[in-house]
Amino acid sequence: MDELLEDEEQLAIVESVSALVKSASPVRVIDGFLQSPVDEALWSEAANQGWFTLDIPVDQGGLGLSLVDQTLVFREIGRGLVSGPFLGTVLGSHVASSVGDKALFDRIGEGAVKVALCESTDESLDFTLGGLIRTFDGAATDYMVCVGPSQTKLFDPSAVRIVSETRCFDPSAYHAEFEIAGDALYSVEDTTFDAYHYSQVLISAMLSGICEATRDKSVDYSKTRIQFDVPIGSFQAVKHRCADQAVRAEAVTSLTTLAALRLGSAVDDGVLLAVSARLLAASYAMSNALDNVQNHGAVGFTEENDAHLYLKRAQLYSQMLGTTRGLRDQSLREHVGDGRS
Amino acid sequence: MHADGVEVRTIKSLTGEESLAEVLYKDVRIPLGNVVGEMGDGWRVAMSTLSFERGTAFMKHQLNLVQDIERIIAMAESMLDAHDRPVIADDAFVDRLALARAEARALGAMTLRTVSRNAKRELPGPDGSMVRLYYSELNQRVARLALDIAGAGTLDRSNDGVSKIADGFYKSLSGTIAAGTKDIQRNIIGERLLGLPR
Repeated sequence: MDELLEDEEQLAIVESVSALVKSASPVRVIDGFLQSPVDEALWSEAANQGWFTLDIPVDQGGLGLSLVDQTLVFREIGRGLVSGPFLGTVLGSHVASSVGDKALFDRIGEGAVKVALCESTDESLDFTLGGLIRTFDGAATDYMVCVGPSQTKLFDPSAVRIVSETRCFDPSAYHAEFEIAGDALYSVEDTTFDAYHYSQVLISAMLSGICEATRDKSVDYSKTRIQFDVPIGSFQAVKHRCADQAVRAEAVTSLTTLAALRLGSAVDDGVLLAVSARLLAASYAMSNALDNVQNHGAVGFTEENDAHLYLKRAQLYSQMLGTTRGLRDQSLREHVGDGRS
Repeated sequence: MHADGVEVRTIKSLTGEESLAEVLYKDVRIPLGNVVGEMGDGWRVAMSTLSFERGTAFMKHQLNLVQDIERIIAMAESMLDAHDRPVIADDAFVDRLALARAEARALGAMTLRTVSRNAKRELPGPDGSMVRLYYSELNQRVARLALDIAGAGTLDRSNDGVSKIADGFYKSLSGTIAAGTKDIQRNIIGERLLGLPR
């Protein structure tokens, strides 16, 4: 049977990652923007904990843990609203490991290199000359990893031309568009490393962290906020919203864990589970974040309260590597056909 | 149940079946050896029975829901709409099918997690109510999705194949009432799992 509960070793991973995330300086938002896109102290501690090489086999220089273990790290990233190109950098590490670039792999592992996660914004999914790509990790990273459904390419920034840079509602997101103007350093087929579905699982994990955090924030507030002489959590209208948040969080965490387990195994429904997890996680994280705003009442509408940060982060993750429409079509592709308009 | 004074009156449900009953007790005497648990401790006994019903009794149905969705997807592929297009070409159905497919998989995963938790304790915990609530509401959404895809044929009682879909839909309505209504399940989750005040 698939074991979906964390064992003691996994609980220890959660504890140390969570302690690191909590020890980091609180999210500082000034006039809607972060002071800096990445907390450098957190980044190098994350490297020390092995976040970037966690599920790379030991004989290739990694920690040899599983994709399920990696989802534990990314769940804490989502829960703690941690900012930075963590997903792109983990993908970069897998690419470097796949092509045997030991020097690059080592530098990524020790936290010396940041890799932006990029995706196509036109129809060219093979990332060739003239193709348009975008990232939410900003234009100032050391490398860029372009993830498509069938192949993944790693670029040096000198091989792309910046088309535009804009800020997003999420204070951590630095949106940049590029045109590909040179050759990729490395190209990896999905048969070697399926970065696309691997990413869907880790995006789901970050969204599951948001689902759990918004549940907990709502529960804590409902226990202490007094109205008509009683905590608002005693009212069924509020209590039942919290219950629904709990059910959604449980659903997303369970499905994400199952997807991680199956994608890393020989069972052939891993791809469907990864797409399904992402579809569900995006929908439920938005619902939980919205309920969290509502449960906080007027305070939830202020910039001072972090309810809006979870909502905006859920929106951001929901747009990364495929929209709801695209994912839902992928889920039913064999039944509907690719050509449906 | 056959002791003197026990009267069972069957009740017809909205599906037309006689699957419900009210039981009346008039001066019924039961041997002490037949007492389950302790005298005066019936509430606790009933609640622990219910915790199984909320926890794992529906496991087979929960896991079957994955196959149910696959059957409904196949039906949406083979059925044609008024313009002779497969029903699955309709974006609105693709939306609902893809989400339901993901939700059924999530339910299966939640069930596995609950089984793992139950293996470590004597009685199923209040988290069983999350699975129960999710299953009963999802089952209704799925039954309604099948009803919408199958269309007007579901109105016809004599139509054996499609009217089964309507029957399944009607039956699904009991899920959010039996073993504690969905509102009771939300109270249990809120109070016993999340620690919110009564």
